[in-house]
Amino acid sequence: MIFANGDCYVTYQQPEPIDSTKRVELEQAFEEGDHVYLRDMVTTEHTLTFYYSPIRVMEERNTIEPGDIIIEEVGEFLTGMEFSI
Amino acid sequence: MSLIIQDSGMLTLLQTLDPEDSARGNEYNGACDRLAHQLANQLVGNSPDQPTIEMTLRPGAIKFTEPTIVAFSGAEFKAKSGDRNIFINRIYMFDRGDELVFGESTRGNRVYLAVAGGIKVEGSNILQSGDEVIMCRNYTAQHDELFNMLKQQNEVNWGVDTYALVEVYLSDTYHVVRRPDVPEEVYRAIEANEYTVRNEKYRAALYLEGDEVDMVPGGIEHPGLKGGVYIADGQPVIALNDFNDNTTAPHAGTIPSYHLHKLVQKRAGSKIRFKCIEAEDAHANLYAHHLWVKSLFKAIDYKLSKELIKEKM
Repeated sequence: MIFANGDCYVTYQQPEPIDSTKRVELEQAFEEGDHVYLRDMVTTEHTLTFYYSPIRVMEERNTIEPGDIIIEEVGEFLTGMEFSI
Repeated sequence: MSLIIQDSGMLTLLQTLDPEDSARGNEYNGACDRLAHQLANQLVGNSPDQPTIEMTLRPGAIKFTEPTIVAFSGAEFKAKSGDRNIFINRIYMFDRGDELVFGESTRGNRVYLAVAGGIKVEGSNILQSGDEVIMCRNYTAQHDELFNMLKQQNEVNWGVDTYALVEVYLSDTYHVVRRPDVPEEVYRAIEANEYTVRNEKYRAALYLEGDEVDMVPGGIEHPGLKGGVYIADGQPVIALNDFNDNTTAPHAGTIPSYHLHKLVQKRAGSKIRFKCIEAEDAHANLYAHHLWVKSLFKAIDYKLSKELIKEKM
């Protein structure tokens, strides 16, 4: 599942542990990739959490609901990494 | 010479606004109270992200070795320089040999001291008694004008009033953004309770106590996020800046960034209540908070410019 974790984070969580090789791959891909609003990613055994600036999204996209825009960007990143979400 | 930490108090750090990568032995994990950090910088004409000195629970004493413009913000610690009372959220100039000594706090836990032109340290950012904090002296034209103005009187006769900050600091209610996988009973239990801050593991976590919250561990390793509310042994633990990278304690939700300023100012014995909200509501509140901070900083800029113009005339 993907959900807004507070006002500055979006988290992807799965019940099974994410393979450690996959985690390294994800971290590398995130670091090397271009992102619109995602600034940082932290991984745990079961989660990937993305940090963003909600104010930046609000001001650039003229909205006070930045959550969906970020969840969409997270979804695109995960799909690109062959996650089924 | 620059500033000398005469007495490091309980915990004194040079701190950045946002977390920064740093060498081993340094703790640049960001200011706990980001608003106070930025407000102190704003008052002395710095950019809001300049490092400040973060002092927790019992601030010590600082000695000045040259004319220095400072302001401090955050907790309401009483402070003195010789016989002179020094107040929070005001601009002061100290001269060579002056000492700023902090006393008791009437409200809050942490204070942030900004120095015009910026500051840095060469070694560890964890400051000990006798350490030197280097003044960067990156003075702007506005700083030069401030120095000229303060030569006469050493302080300005205005500051940011406590009442202006009431909206941010004086409430015991904290929003928690709900997670989709946490049962409603957990949120009902959290909201029904009044918690007391049992203690703070400095900059790492606030431990609360109240009626037990029954939350079953789901075997998930969660990220340790600032503002995260985790349930350990039936009691909420709130993550601060230096919390673990991850935890298997159940995660009930996350306190939005606009409530973290007042959270980190809570001391042992303080009361806390929670109100559980959706992320959309948190974003609307955040934007309102953002506009308020912008207007406060604009008002400071306006007041400062007006004073400087008056001085020139």
